[in-house]
Amino acid sequence: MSGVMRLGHIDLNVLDIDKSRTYYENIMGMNVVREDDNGTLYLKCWDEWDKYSLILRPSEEATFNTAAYKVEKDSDIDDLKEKIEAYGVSTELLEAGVLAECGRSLKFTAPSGHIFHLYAEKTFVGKDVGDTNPRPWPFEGKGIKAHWIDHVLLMCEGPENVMAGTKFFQEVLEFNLAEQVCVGPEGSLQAATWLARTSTPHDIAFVAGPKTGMHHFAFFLDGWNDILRAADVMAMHDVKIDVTPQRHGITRGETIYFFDPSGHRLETFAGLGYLMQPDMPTVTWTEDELWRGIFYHTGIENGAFTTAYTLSAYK
Amino acid sequence: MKYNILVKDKARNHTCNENKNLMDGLSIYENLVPKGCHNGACGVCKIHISNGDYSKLKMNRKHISEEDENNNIVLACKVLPKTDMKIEFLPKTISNIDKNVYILGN
Ligand code: FES
Repeated sequence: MSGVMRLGHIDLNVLDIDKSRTYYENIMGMNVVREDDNGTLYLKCWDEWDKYSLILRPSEEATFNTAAYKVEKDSDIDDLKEKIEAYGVSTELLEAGVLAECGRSLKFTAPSGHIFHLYAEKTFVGKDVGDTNPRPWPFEGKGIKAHWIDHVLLMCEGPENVMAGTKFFQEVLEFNLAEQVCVGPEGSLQAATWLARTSTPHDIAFVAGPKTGMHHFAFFLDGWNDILRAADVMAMHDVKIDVTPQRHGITRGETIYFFDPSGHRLETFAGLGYLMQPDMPTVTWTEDELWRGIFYHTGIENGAFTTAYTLSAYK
Repeated sequence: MKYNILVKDKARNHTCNENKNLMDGLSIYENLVPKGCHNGACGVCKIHISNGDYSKLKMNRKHISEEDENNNIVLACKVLPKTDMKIEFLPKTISNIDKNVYILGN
């Protein structure tokens, strides 16, 4: 079995689909690649090769629906179905096309409390720069020109669900635990975890909060200069910035947190962080140095980081 | 055009421009409004409007029911002032379950 490769797409409900379209096109630099009759939009970044990485649904709510991960082979779907069910989590096999532009997919609610999809096939489009003698970046394109959607951080109801979700992702989906924040008596509780299947520090993260939801999802940028330029682009467009350019202790990423027109928190995450490998020792942050881990320079809570986030739609 | 917005309990009067929502307009003043997403998802900016005319954008039904909306309970980040206003922030009710849950940073 080869299993999960990477984050495939994020599925969100938005309040004003036209505002969202303008925002993700003009500021993030994504392209709308498909539009359904009900107004649902599918968007893609220039450096991604599959059809889309973001679904925006017109709604009465600003909420989080699902995250989907791409697996390597179609047979992985059957193998993982068996494995997930053996673990005690029920699954639903969806026919090709139920997930737009995707082959058959597996749907389940992970012990973290979130709905996930796994799929092996999605319509191939190619990068905007092509794959023969490509330019390093597209000359055309708008705004920040984010490369790809990098990771998602999900909020779980309490450390119990963080720990249950983390264990499931480690044992069943074979993610590796890159970093963790340990709290409580002798650090016995995981309040937050960062897990990877790729060679970057995280493809998913879980944090404990009062309600199930999505804290943010992140767009990848090359480095610090791109972060500064991205913040400039945001200010020029009056984007509400939550946390100005900073470094994370955890993952070592260079970051900005900001909000989309429905109030969904986004991040631009720059740099590799470090090379993640299955045998890398897990990094642990203690309760007293937790904020140093999150905002490395100030070491203190900042912005609306713990109070404001998107709730899950199905709760 | 600028209008005076009185935030109850804070007993402080501050101005908000008619083309800014109350969260954007008032967040420049220190410790006057809660920290939030300013666009409708998080629900921390729930207010009751006791005085004043306003225009509003679509509310997130996850946080504001139709009934709330009819009773002038709205999200401050989706309200733009049309006259002087008097508002009160409604703190999030925390259930017993929520209290037992570890919240990062608490
Ligand atoms: S500040 Fe988040 S909903 Fe208004």
